[in-house]
Amino acid sequence: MRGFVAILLILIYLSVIIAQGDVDIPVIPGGGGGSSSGGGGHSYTDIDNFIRQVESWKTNDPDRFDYLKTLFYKQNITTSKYVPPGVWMYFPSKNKTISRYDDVAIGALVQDDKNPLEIRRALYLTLEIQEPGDKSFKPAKTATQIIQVNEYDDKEKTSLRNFPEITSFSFLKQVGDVRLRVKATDGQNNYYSTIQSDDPAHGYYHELLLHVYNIPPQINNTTMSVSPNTAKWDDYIQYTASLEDQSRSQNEATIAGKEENSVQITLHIYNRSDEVFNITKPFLPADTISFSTKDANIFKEMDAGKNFSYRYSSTDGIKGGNNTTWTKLGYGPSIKPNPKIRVTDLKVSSEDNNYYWWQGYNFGLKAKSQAAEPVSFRVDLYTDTPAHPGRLIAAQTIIAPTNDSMDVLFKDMNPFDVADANQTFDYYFRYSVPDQNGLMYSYAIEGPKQINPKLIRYTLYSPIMVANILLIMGLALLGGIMIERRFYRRREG
Amino acid sequence: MGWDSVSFLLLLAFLVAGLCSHIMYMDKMHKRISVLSNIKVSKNRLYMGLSIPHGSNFNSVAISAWILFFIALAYLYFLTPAVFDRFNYFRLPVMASSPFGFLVFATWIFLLTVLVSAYLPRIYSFYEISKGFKTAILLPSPLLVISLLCSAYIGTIYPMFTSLTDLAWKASFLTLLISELVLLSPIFIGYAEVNR
Amino acid sequence: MKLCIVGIGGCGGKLAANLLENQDTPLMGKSLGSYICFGGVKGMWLEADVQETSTQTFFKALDTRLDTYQPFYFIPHDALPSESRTSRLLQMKYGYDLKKQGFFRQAEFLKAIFEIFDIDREIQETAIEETSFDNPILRGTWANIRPYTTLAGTNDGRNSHGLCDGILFVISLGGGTGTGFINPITSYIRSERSAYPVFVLGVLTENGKDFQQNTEESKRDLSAVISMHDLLVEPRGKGIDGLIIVDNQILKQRFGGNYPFMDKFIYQSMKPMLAERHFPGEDPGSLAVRELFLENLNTPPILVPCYTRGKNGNPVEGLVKDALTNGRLFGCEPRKAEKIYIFARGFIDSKELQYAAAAQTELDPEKIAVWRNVGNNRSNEVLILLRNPYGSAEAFKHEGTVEHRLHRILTMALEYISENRDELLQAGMTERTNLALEAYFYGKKGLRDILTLALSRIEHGEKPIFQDPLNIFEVLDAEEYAEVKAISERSLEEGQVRAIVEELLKEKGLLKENHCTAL
Repeated sequence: MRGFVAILLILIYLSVIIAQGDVDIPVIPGGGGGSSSGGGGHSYTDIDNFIRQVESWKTNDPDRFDYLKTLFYKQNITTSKYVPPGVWMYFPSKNKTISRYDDVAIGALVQDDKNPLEIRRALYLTLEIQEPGDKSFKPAKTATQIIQVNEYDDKEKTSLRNFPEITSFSFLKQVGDVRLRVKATDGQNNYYSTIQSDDPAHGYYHELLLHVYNIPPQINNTTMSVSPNTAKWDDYIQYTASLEDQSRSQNEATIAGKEENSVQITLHIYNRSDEVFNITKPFLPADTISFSTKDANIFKEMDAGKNFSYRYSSTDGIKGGNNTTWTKLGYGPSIKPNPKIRVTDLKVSSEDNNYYWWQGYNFGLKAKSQAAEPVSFRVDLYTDTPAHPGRLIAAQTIIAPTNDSMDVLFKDMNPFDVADANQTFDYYFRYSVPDQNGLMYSYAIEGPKQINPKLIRYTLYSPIMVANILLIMGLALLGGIMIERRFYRRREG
Repeated sequence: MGWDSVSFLLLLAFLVAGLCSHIMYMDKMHKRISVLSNIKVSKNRLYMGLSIPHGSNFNSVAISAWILFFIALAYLYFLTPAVFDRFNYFRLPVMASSPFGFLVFATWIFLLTVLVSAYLPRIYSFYEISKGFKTAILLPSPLLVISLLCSAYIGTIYPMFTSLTDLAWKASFLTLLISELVLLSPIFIGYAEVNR
Repeated sequence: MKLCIVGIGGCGGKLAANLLENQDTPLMGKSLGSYICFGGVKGMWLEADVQETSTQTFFKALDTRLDTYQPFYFIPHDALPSESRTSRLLQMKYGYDLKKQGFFRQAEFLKAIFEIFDIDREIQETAIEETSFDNPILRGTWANIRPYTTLAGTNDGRNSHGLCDGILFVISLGGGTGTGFINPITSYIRSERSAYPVFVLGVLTENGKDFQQNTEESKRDLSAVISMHDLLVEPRGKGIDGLIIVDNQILKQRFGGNYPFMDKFIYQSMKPMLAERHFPGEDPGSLAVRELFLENLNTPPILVPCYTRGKNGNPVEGLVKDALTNGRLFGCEPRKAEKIYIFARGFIDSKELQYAAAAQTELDPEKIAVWRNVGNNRSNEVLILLRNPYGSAEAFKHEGTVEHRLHRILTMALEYISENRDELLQAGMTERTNLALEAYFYGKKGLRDILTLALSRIEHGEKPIFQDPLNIFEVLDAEEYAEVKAISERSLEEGQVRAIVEELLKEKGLLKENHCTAL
């Protein structure tokens, strides 16, 4: 130890010399010639110089000289009384109301300005917590922090330690007021931070009080879906959704463990405004929420033809605050009615390949009963053109047999007029009973060809056109004669 | 603006010119007669005195010709979408789909313009019309029928075009123009004469 | 002024056809309404020769008449049935064949016929029995003219608009038909309306032989003279109101004998008088014109038309001068005119017209009447009627005067009378008629004497030329006269009276055709 001190003194001396620069240190030539005493041993001149230098320091720079003295001179330890260092909770944030998921940094501050270094002791810090609902403090799930004797800064004689294990209060199962304190021990003394006084400006507390609230799990409404939206009652139907802010939830799940952070999601199914079914499953926040008809028999045969809606409720089970949220109402699925007929072979044809608007068109389909007995139903034929969308052309009532499909024909229809010329057309049928797809209509089928652009069906020399022209001439002639007779004849007496 | 629209405006311009010429003619007559008369002349009384009958044949032919003119004008410009896409016969699908749609269209034009046509003999009565012109008034009617036929031809083949389409259009327009000038000539000539 | 144009005879018919030409658009001869004539006039044609009516197409037969106006012809003697007792009686008593086709240039023929109907009671009775009229030819003729006149409008309660307020007879002086209709009809009109205007447009036959009709000028001149004499001697209020006289000789020289052109020109020259579109206050009624024509006169005047047409904008003085010098349709001296009547078409100042005419004729502008209408704006036209532009002694010696022309025809007429006694006193006439004709032509105060007197007046520049009325049958002897008188004093039976009254009422439209009268 003494040797170490001596080396240290020499180094300091040299560095001071270099730093001072202007210290007038007489240069005594060493080595070749001079007044060197020759080989071996220190010269007295060197020491004299050093002494003189030191004396000048004492005069010129008493502060630095005192410090230097401490380096050379170790005062006698006059006391052996040890004063335990002061310990505080350290929480630099001003916001004491936080959610379970907010990031927190909690530490402890130790100050030992009473004890010299020689008698300092290592200090062991343990964080204690009084959770909401608890009556007493208990050790938090953090590691004990050790402050070594030399881990204090020179000026303030303080040392700061964080408790890195507590990054948030998501581990709480009940929200409310949370109290934290530090227990310090040096092996001989055990005391708490609670004996100290607070310095909120610097974030020092004898006991840290935090108001922790809960943010219940929220499903993102935009992620809600049901597939398929229209289905038969015994089809596989799946409901999916996602919780909001999955990324933080995912990290916590990884750190904290699956069982502690699961969310109970309940699917509620409604028919009109009545809840007809619900099912609850746990999900981790990172999981995609999914319910399906595999989880339970959600729909029955008697549900055919009905329209359902649904929503979710999510709860994390945290006590002491809001722990459940509800989503908006989602629509679906629509359960198709039970098919009564089977419709196939929809077709259309024109008189010829010209597809003039004035021509007759033939539409048709095949129909068969899906039930045990023949089914009487009505078929409406519609056409769709830009000028006449959704135009009802004709209707028939037929009896579909059970054994074989029958042809339903709409012959020689004139569905178009001149406004439809040069347009494409679609056609479709509507039925009074559901077909094999559970639909009461067929999908619109585009006509095989665009309607011919020719507008007038007659040629100029056709009898109809000739009659038109002649009648127009007659109209003009008769008009002239009648007007003249009515208004001008009298004047001419 | 295509030639179609320009030609339509030209025909309209002649009609407007005819109307203006007539108004100025009557005004000029009133002024000249007032200057030469020994008594104060009211316009209404003067107009009564200036009006002379031209005969039932002439009036009937003139009215018929004007009716045909307006119908032929509508047929040339408003039958197909070629000139006025937003206002044409084929925008009325019920009428255009009917076998007698042309007749119905012409009847509508007749009803819209009958008052004008009916009033024209009254306007003619203020002009001294020679026997020669009274014979010439027979010319517009067959010309207008030709115009009508050409326009109807274009309408029946629309939107197809044949080698005859352009010729038919020009023939229709020319016959329409000539007819209009013949029908308006008494007014223009009268106006020119009274300003001599 | 809206005149009813009545053409008499061949020349009258052709002229009337021009005046009554349909101004409407021709539609293959069909009319959808009324016939429209220039000036809104209406009219008809009186023709005795059926052949003449069948060779033309303009005038329609009477039995094809429609409700709307169109010109038709009337054969006067068709008023009598085919086997007419009246006709037989007349022929038996006087030798005249009423159903004769045409009159063969016998101007006195119709004159004689109408005089007989006027004085012979037996003829009247027979005619009444047969036709309900005492003079069926006169009545029939008038019955067809009257509906176009305002006389029909006022009495029947019909609107007078469009009806004619005067009559213009158009005849050839020297033609075959003569003017026999005119005075009796005028007299008949006067019994209904004393001042109803009747004018005559007479075209004097040209010089020389008429090769078509194979008649000499002297014969035609005699016919012309008889016509003129009859027309111009009737006193005011009884006869016509003016004789507009045109010399065919002048027109023949101007148009090279092209008769259709000549007729067209006469029509053109009459247009200013007939045209409509009058200047305000210058639409003279026929009555007003009549009054002016007859002012200060006791007998009808001779009116000489002078016509010209000039471009719009030409000086008025030039127009008037041209009319009075180059536009005379009968040779005359304008300065001799008693009064001037100007019908003008175009934008012409009336004062300018008056002064221009006054300057040319040295007549007081107060004696110059002007009526204007608007015309066709392309040209100005003027028709100047000179009243009695004659009266100088010795003027007959100068060509181009009224005196000269009338002197010529009078001389020729006298010559014919002297040289064609047998022609004039035709065989086949009864003695009564021959006696009357003898006295008429050759008797004291007969036509020969009257014409000689007229000639003398011309030579001395006296006015009027014709002054002495003359009837054919007025020179009956006492016995004839007593017989005639006795007949006329015989009273009519009730049935005859009833028949007469019914016909009169039907004629005036006060009784429907099927209506049975109960008198």
